[in-house]
Formats: sequence, C-alpha cells, structure tokens
Amino acid sequence: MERRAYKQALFAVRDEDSALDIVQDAMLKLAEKYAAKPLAQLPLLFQRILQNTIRDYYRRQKVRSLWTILFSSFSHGDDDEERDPLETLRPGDASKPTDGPLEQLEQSRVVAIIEQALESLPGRQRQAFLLRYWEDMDVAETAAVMGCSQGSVKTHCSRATHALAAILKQKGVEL
Amino acid sequence: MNERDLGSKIARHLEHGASQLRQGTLYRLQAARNAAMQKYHAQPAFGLAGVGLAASRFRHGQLLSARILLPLAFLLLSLSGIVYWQTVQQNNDVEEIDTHLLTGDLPINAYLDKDFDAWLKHSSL
Repeated sequence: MERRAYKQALFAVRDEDSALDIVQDAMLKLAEKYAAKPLAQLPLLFQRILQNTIRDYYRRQKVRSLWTILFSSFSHGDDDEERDPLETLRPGDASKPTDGPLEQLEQSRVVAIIEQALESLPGRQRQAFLLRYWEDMDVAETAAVMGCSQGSVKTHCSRATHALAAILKQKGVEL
Repeated sequence: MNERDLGSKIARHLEHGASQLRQGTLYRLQAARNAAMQKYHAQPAFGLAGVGLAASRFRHGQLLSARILLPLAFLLLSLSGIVYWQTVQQNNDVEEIDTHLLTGDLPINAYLDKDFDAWLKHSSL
C-alpha cells in the first residue's frame, strides 16, 4: 500500500523526499485519527488523507514560492536539471527468472515513459486515473476520495486515458 | 483497446515500477509504516476511543440530534424542578414559623428546641 501511495505522491510533487514525507504524514494521520474505524474503511480513508496531504503540500509550496519570489534574486534555472534517463533504469527483480535483461530493460523503459506521461497529466486527471485503475476503486469510491461527482470522475478518467494513449502512441509504446 | 483495458495494462506497469523502488526509499517507507502502526496500537481502548469519537462529532455539530438533546433537556428540566421545589419548600417552612410566632400559636415542640429558645432570648434583648 505504501509503495503505491509513495508513487502517487511522487507523480504529484515530483520530489522524493517530499513524497516520502507526505506518505508518512498520511499514515500517521490515519493511525491517530481513525484507529477506531472498521478496518474495511481504512483504505478509502487513507486515500482521502493522502490526497488532502498532497493538496496541503501544494498550498504550502504556493505560499513558499510567493515568499521566494518576493525575497530572493531570480534563479537561473538550476532547479530544472534534466533527469538522467539511466536513473529510471532500476535493477531488475531477481525473483523473476523468466525476464531476461532485454525484457527488463524494455519494461523499465515503458514504465519510465508511463510515469513521465502520468506526471504530465493535469492533477485531477492523474488522481482520478490512479485511484480508478491502480487502486482499483469504483467510480463512487473515487468520487468520494476526490470530493467530486461521479460524472466528473468518469470525465477525468476518460481524458486521462485518452491523453496517456496518445503519449504512448507518440513514443512508440504498445501495451 | 477500450479505456478499462488500457487502464488495467498501465496499472500493471505502474505496479512493476512500484516494485522497483530503491532500498533507501523502501527503508523509509517501512519506518513510516512502523511508526504509524505504533501510533495505531497506542490508541486508547474502545470506550475512550468512543468518547473521543463523540467529542469529535460534537465539534462537527453532528451530536446535536434529537437522540442526544432530548435526554439532556429532560435531565436539565428535572434538576431545575428539584431545585425549585426545595426553594419553595424552605420558604413555606419559614413563612409557617413566622405566622405561628405572630399569632402566638407555636407548637410545644418549638419551646423545647434549645436553639429556638436561645434565638428567642437573643432577639428579645
């Protein structure tokens, strides 16, 4: 659960330390405030807390960047350092003997493309897509977590899927 | 390929990506999970948790329902009634003694009461 939560946070905030902090905060909030709730409700509650914590992070970042603009000199774009493509190539899972090095390499490449495509999506579309298909929630649950109507969830999911399909096609990825 | 199929396939790849996290990241996630589990197990027992839950509901105004307000109102009315009855009863007793004093029609028991005798002597001085 925490791995997927971390990845969700990472897609949203694009910073590993911040994503880890968000997951930790969300877990602690769940344990502190909702310990008395039935176990079956905890995954949904956790998702709601996680999304709220990500939203809080955005708010804090907005305030922080405002102060940064006010009190610091203009940056020269050093923060926009490009990612090394090799960073996305993780060592393979040794427990899967059927996957050869080439397959693992291709798998990692596809995963990296998908993750980058997800990062490029608007936040609400990404959120709806991940909750619906990765967390395997139904439309009603996704709407409850996102605090919107079921119709909005369907719209967000549809747009996200079409956008992802277009990006994957452009990159020559076939699933 | 429809939306659902594509979503599922992408989810499978994402799952693979999540299984390839760095060891340091996994360690920190595990530490976060352990800290949360400690908090979870450190929560008070059901009764206290229930009180906490009720308090939090009260904060959110959800406790102000007829089920809670009616017994509370009944309790307050009962307490008010008891206090009122006791006050009236005391006043009646004092009025009765005053009347008997004025009419000189005190019962014999009043003269046998040492405190009353002392008060009578003190007030007549």
